[in-house]
Amino acid sequence: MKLTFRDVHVAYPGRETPALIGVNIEIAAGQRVALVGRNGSGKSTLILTANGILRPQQGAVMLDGQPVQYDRRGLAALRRCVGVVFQDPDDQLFTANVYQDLSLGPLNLGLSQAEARQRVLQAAEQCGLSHLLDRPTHSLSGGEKARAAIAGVLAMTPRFLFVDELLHHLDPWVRREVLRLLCDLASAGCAVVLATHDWALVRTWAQHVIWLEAGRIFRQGHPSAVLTGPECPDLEGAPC
Amino acid sequence: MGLQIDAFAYANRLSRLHPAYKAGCSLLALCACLVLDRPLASVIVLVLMLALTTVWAGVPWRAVAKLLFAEGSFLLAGVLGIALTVSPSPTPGSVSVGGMWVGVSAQSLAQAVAVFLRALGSVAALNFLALTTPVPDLLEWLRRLRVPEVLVELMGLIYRFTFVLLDSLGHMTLAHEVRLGFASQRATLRSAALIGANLFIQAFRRSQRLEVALRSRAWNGSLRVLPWQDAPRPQR
Amino acid sequence: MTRRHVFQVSLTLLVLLGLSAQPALAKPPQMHIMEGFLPPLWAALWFAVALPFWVIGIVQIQRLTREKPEARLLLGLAGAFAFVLSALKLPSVTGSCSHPTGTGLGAILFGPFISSVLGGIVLLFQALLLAHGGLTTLGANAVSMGIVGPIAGWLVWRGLRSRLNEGVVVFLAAALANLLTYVVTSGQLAVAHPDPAGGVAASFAKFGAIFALTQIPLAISEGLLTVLIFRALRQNAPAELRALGVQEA
Ligand SMILES: Nc1ncnc2c1ncn2[C@@H]1O[C@H](COP(=O)(O)OP(=O)(O)O)[C@@H](O)[C@H]1O
Ligand SMILES: [Mg+2]
Repeated sequence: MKLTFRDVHVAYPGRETPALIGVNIEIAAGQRVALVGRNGSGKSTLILTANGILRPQQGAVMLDGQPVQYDRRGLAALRRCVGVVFQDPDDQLFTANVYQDLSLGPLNLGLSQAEARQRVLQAAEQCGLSHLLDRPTHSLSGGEKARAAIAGVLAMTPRFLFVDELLHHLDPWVRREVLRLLCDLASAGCAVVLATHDWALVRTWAQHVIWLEAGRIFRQGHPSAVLTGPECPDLEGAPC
Repeated sequence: MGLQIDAFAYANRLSRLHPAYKAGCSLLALCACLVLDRPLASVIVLVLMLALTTVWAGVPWRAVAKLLFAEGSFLLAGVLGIALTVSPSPTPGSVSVGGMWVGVSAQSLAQAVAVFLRALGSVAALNFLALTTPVPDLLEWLRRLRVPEVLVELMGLIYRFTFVLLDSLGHMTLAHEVRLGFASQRATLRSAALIGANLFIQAFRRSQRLEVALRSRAWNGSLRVLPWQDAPRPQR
Repeated sequence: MTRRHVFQVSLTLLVLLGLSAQPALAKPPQMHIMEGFLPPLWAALWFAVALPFWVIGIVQIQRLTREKPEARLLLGLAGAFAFVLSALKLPSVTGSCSHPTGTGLGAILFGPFISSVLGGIVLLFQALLLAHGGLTTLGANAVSMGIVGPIAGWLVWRGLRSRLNEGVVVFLAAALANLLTYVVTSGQLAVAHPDPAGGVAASFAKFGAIFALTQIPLAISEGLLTVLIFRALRQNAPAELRALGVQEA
């Protein structure tokens, strides 16, 4: 499966400069992609566009070569394949306990209760949440909340998973767990796109880097090719 | 910033028991207190409910006592209005206040004590329910009792968001505290207003982010989730 | 009981009250009527009074969420906001915040019926999570705090907004909502527990006098607080306010 952006322009209403300008990308199944760039460079906008929350004014988002249809059915089909995990888990955990929250997505897809339950248990297992299913959401730790947010999306069995700066609140141990989970997902054939500011991680983890500057693609390609030169903040010496 | 009562509701020996039993117990005790309306009955209910909460459910008695003491002190202020009598002519032990005689009569005192005990018994019954029953269980039960779906759903959202906002409130309060925002009464009022306004703005923006997150999960307008009763309950 | 006996008992009562004043002052009694304080008939009567408001409110919420499914998120956050406001740290002379500010904002945003439903839910959670108020007294509390108070505030806001300075209107709306809550609660207590000699009127005076101690300063500070909150919102979030349908005065 392939997700393609062809010459995508996205502007927010009431903003003069578009947030994405002529973006061309292609993401293949099982790929590990890093999305980097300054604050406000358009990473979140790209993610929302991939999921169909934002609609490009120009250009097209394509799934396996077919342009996305922005009607009810087309969007449902897109969102079945493309999942998003947001920065703040509290923005996406709706119910008072983990179990019910995980079931929201599968039920939205129109699955039966039995199938939905199956999906929930599976996603929980995958994210190591099985023992927390009956816990109230507000009693979870930061890492557990992050994993619950991921599991809520995995329960919809996406083929492309976009993760927006989720790792930043997590301690290195929990981060490692979450990263391992993302690696497993990629080996299982789900493309993982990680928006992050952690360049060390990008260098070791990513197979493909998309670097945005002010809404445009600045560079993209393999980290060894892209992450060189004086523009890279991590190559400068110690700050003091 | 958590809520202590809520924490006990998940962490007592009865938390897994079907809410209908606990609510039934509590409501029965409440009715007994209110309908019988006898000090003796109230005291029996009080003792019984305290025993159920501490012995059966295993909630630490210190927490139960502290809660009951706080409630009892609220009650005393209310009961004072019953204990005092007002009459146009002097009664034994009364004092004159603005042309009226305010005092205490044996009858009014007895009534005040009766109401106090009745309320204390009822409060203990309510505490039993609150301290042993997780809110999601109660909501699920209400849903089965055919309480309108929109209402149950809204209650669930309010419950969930309460903790999110309490977290934000805690952070903001701390941020003002470290900048001496509560150093004087004036500063406190100002800080409170800033925090309140900020909290409101945050709540509004969060509602927008939540909407985006919902739509990204193929939302079709209803917040349908699996019944909570079917959740696997691992033994811990 | 002899005269001396009465004197002793009342002295004990006063001492107890003095003892209780310490925690009570740290968190002065809100106007919640505690569980078990009302006889069953009065409790039922106040439920009956609140019921029509709730029914209309629920129907309105149903309509609103059918037209705008995302509105339920805002409703949920508005309710949570009203609940959480009671944990706001306020000047110690007035103690903790009651929630006319929260429900008042709800009334301005969603109208009195929907906000009465929000108020009812918040009261239920206050009973279950904070041990303020009660289940059998929920109807009475809902009438005073979730219906009469916010409606009064809403009417003041609607009626005077175009005529007076906005700050003054907001102050009046919030303070009046608070005072009415207090008057209604005193009335509810008085009719349920009339004075044996002086009847309901005397009883109303008694309860009124007892709660005036905390409620009048509270009304004033709540009014001020709401003004300051509103001003901060106007300054920091004009776009949000407009999106919520609060027009410029
Ligand atoms: N809801 C919005 N309305 C208007 N402009 C927005 C909105 N969200 C983001 N922007 C603008 O779009 C640009 C890209 O933002 P974003 O995609 O959030 O960047 P990033 O995620 O890389 O930090 C920024 O200039 C930002 O100010
Ligand atoms: Mg971003």
